[in-house]
Amino acid sequence: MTTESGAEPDAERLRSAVSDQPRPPRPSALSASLTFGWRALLKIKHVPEQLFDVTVFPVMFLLLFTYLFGGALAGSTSAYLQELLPGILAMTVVFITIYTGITLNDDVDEGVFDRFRTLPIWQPAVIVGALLGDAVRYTIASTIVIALGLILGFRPDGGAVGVLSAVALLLVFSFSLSWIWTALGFVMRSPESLMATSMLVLFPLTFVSNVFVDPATMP
Amino acid sequence: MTEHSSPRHTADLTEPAGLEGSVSADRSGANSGATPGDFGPSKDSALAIETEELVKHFGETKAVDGVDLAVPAGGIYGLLGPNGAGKTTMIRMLATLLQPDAGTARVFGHDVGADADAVRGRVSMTGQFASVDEDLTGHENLVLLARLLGYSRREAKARTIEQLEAFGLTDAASRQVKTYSGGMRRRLDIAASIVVTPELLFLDEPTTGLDPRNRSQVWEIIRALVANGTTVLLTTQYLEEADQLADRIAVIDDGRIVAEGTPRDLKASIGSGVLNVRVRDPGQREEARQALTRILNAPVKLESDPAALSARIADTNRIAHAFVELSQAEIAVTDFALGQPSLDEVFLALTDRDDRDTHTDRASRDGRDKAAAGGRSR
Ligand SMILES: Nc1ncnc2c1ncn2[C@@H]1O[C@H](COP(=O)(O)OP(=O)(O)OP(=O)(O)O)[C@@H](O)[C@H]1O
Ligand SMILES: [Mg+2]
Repeated sequence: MTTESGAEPDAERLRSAVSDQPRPPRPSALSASLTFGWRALLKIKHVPEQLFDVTVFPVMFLLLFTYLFGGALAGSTSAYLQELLPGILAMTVVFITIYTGITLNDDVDEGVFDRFRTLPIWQPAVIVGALLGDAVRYTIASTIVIALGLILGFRPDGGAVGVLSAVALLLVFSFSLSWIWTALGFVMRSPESLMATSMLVLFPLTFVSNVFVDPATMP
Repeated sequence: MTEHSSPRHTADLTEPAGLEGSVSADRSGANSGATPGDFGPSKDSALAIETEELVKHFGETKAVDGVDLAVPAGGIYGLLGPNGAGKTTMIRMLATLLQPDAGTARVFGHDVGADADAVRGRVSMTGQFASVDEDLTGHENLVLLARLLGYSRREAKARTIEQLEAFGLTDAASRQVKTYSGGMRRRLDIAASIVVTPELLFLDEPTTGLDPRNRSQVWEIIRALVANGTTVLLTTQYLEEADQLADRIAVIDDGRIVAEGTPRDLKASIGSGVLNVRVRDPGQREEARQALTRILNAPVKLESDPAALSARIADTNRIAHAFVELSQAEIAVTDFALGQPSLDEVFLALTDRDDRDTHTDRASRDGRDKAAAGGRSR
């Protein structure tokens, strides 16, 4: 596809780009937030790697722990899976929350953020929109983990309703948690330092919690 | 567009005499700095930008160090300065992105701090580095902005298609911006700034890094906007660009305005140009220098190229004599060109003096004498 030569803008055409229409009314806070949410979805579409990271990681953990340690830790792999899966689910989603902070950090570097900040819109819409986009990521990741679990033989006690309400609870929890990363994203300079900080906080927490091992067996 | 881009200002543009009259009055007020009250109330309303003692420091760096600027509504105002002069910092403060440390800045009478929302409703900015989303396509970028500016989904699409067409980006519309060339990216960036025609447009070095064709396209769109009533504040490192486009220019260096006026004033204050000469035999350079100094009655500088000389000249009539003199002295010349003073020379001329503050409100003729004197002392 040849790009520039085919459609060379001439002076006449450029002049037609100048709108003499009146400025439309400002969008509402909700409409601006949804528009930013749409931007987040477009980002997932164009940069699917961000989904790859957060799905491969938990799938790997799930398989690894189930088959390597499952027998040792809980007697049998299927028994261990019953304990492990909800934990992996929580962990996955919590890790995704970090992306919100990182996305915002990228924006600040790119200069897109500058443009958003000079728009006459409800300013927090940028953040709310990013968080809405994250909610979609949480849902996708949860679905994958649960689907894999079902294949491996996970049988939830609560049935379908129980699983759905657990996911919903998780979404609310993550939505709240992502505000922390967002706040940090504004304070920290680089995405790397944000990543490092969040890992520092999250890793010990997930290991100490009851995700991998029954707390009863801990010292 | 609203009441601020009243036809009166556009009319001013077509009548240079009227513009000259009003701005020279502005200038005396703006540059004396201490007397901002000089502006009458009627003049206030004709100002797109007005700053008083604007200051922004980053630690030890005085990025903007007490700037008084008065930009009349309508037309193009150029902010000319070298790297690190404080141009971007100025624009970011005026576009509500940075809080000033001290002083005030008003855009169409609205304070950029206290009344930021009103300012945002009137301005739009194309940053020095592309302010579009690299991951999205050109089409998505424009629709996103159109939606954020209040267009309905359908209107946003229609406006986007119209703009892509006008900017020659239709073919690339569905590609991610990160695959765009520098020129395409710049065009998209400017398109994104004029989805809704702003009353005041900030363009931070819009043509740096563009080839001549892309550069003239950018100039074309700027002129089209101005014809439509928009005021443009443009930063540039190129004297030629400011000269071509701007109705008025402020030269900024080290966070301070060192000169302000029409391009004509400014050029007059630094002499009419620079004569560049290259001799074939570097051994004859000293001889050539003496001959040129005598004829031009101006200091002649030896360039780092061992065969090249240059002289800042006030009087172009003497150039022919200089050429004759060189050929009579049998000095073979390979290059003999009269050029605009480079930005370097503008800065040397404008900053190579101790009374920097008094310079700015001096009339152009006066400035020319001073510039010549400054050159001689070097
Ligand atoms: N965020 C910042 N933190 C620290 N110093 C800064 C920051 N922004 C700008 N500066 C400093 O302020 C000074 C002015 O910078 P500014 O970007 O305004 O210059 P400029 O005229 O736009 O230069 P250029 O032509 O290179 O774009 C420079 O010395 C720069 O290093
Ligand atoms: Mg800059």
